[in-house]
Amino acid sequence: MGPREMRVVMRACTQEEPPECTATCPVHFNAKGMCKNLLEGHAEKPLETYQAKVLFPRLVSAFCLAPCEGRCAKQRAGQAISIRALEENMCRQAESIPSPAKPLLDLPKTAAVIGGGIKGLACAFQLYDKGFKVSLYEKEDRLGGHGWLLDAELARLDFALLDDMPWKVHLGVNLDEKSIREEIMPVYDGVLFATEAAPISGLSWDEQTNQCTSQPKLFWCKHPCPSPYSIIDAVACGRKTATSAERFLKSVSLTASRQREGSYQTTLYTDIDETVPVDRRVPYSKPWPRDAAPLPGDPAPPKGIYSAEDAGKEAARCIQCECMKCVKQCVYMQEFESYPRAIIHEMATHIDMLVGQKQSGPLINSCSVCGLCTQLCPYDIGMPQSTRGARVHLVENGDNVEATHDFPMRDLAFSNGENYWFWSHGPDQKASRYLFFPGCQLAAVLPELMLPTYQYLRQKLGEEVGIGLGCCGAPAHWAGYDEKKKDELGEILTQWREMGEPTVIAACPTCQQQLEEAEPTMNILSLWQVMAQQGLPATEKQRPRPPLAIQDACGSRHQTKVQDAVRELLAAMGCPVEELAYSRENTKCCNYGGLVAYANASLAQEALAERLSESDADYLVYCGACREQCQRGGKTTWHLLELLFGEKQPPTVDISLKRDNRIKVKQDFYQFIKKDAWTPSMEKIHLIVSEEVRKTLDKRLVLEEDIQRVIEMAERTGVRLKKADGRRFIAHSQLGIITYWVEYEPVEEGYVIHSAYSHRLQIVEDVKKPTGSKK
Amino acid sequence: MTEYDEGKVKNTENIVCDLCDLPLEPAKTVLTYMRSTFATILLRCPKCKQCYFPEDLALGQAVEVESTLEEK
Repeated sequence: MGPREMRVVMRACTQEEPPECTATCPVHFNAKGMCKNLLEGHAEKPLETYQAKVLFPRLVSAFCLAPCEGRCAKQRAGQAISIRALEENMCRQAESIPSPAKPLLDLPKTAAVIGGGIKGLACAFQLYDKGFKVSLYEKEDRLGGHGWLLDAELARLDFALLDDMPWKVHLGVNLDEKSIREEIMPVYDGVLFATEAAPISGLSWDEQTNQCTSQPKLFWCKHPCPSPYSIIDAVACGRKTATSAERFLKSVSLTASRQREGSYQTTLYTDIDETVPVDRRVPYSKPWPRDAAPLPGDPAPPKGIYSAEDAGKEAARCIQCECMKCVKQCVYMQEFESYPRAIIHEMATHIDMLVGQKQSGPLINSCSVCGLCTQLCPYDIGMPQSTRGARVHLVENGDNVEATHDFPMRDLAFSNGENYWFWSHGPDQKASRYLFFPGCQLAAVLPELMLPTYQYLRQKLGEEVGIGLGCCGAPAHWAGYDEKKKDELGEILTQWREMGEPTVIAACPTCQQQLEEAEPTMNILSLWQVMAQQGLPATEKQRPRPPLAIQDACGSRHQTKVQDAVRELLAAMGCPVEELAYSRENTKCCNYGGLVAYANASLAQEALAERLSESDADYLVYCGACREQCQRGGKTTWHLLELLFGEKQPPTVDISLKRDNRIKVKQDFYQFIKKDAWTPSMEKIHLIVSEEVRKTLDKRLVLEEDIQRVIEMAERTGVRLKKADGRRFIAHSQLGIITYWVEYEPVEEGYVIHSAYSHRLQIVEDVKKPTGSKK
Repeated sequence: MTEYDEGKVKNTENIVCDLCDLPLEPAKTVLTYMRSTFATILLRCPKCKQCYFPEDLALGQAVEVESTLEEK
């Protein structure tokens, strides 16, 4: 997925869409923003905006029929916000209301507006604001029309500013058709009619633009005012007609980008499940004209004036409509204080603008690609497609930061290298009906349980159960190395085909996902489905347990059968379970997913900690990575296999032990199937590493294997530094793209490791050393 | 990496090159990363040019420089 496709996804996120109140308002006043400003004590800001939108703030706020309230999302959890009353209150409390700003432009073109009522004034204001020279013709002896009928005092206040407008006003002029044709049309560049009746007979008018179809310079606010009179619709109608005239006078398209003129339906999703229903805090006065006279006993209708406290309380009821449904559950988006539309936009721009430069960015690499956002989104929009797409795009263009994913990619190479990769039919078998594929992480974390699981499968399914040890390529998938992923999966499929395409039994939900995607014809089952069907192993001892909270793997988000099978097994074991608030299809990632821990370790830890805090119970997992992450996060965590086959919990793994464990698993299977011992080709020098140093190495992603290679090179070539004590040496070596440094001390039994570290900067050095080894 | 500018980098730990048996001395050393090349002062063997990139530098300023180059 490239930037173009990312932008398509981005546009479907509705977070930036206006709230219902704004979309419904014919002139799109932002009542949500008003409530926020009122709460913050800034009434002047919304008042200025309000004036600019409605033009006659006192009249509109007092007599608007408030269509916004009819669609206010708050209605779904109580009563709508009293938007109109708040607006009226805001206007009445203001000492003065700002006049419209002076136009920025002074254009030579002229426009005549025939009719000086609300619509005509709206036309005049808008054209004046855009810089045109406006002339107004009104048959009565004052401007304002219907406004005076609503409330003479408010009309007087609102229309006072007309005196300052530099318009040519012609009062008491009743233009007939002839004078319009002869005196007006030849003189002005545009003529706008704001009259109830058709100004010139026999003309037709375009519905969308209010433009005359035969005389393009003529425009008519032709929509009759609804009954009861709606002042805001009159303003909107005048504005719409003026927009058309303005575009005509500027010779631009009259129809482009006008889909959202007037009231429309917003696509913004607002989750109000968590809002407490609160009814209006203060009595509500219906706008004029009232539907019915008050009944005896009704409280006297207020005049739309709140006390400062009541206005604050009413504004505080606004739930500030927004979606953020996914963001509320995603530490990654919270960390970047953003939401899918903005993040994807930034990523797309990022990769678009930086072609040819090495570039990545934490934004792209900090998403766990777990898919919870997509699951929660009312429009099925989420981050995974885009974050992974961006990573793939960067890799394909050579713009990724290789070092970010160097460790997991080397780990993948390890799993699919001689130390773990092993495919075979069962002992003394020439065919396989089934193939057990434990994956790389589970074997790395729980090596002791791989062979017992395999033996269980042979016992239940017969002897034709083969074994496949390797990595499904998920790290390459997450890092964006799609070619590499294809190669790794290709190797797996080759082995699988050579073994006669047996039914694959996957222990890891992510492996299952990757394999299903790579080869849709592959018959693949989850280990848990097989076990739920075949029954518990004979060795399983039922024992009373406290409830375990199930941490569903994000890879199994859409594998309902797998989730069910896990629960069936736990029920069969008599193990009480606790469902986390976010479980099954709504589960949260342990943050191994997406390789976040390598790109943004602190974020991964934070997200994991949040997940682990959801329950005080021990966690039950069925994914090797979840097992490791949860335990690293300090939570007592049981893998399902540990309940089924384990006696006691193995020690918490570190990065080096995970490698040794995979070697051990290969050795176990090799011994069991081939009845022979297998030893790795790389001869290991013996390291003596204290527990403290081991923890440091784990944190710094320095493997014992890296240390062994550095020391081996130093001892062989003699290129090393000596510390003042004469016992400790410092050596370094660039392995791939990372340079490793080791401070060590040779002793009789091997090498004591005092410290090791690495850096990404590469030293350009040309060590002049004697040929051959030193010693 | 200003703190490692000439004059500030000293061989206070008396580290010697085991190959040449010579104490390390501050010297301009070229580093490269993310298609950028720049020079800094590191301790180095005056004869064989083997250099020393200390732990505090690797875990401190180097990380900052790396991040800056990755984000540029």
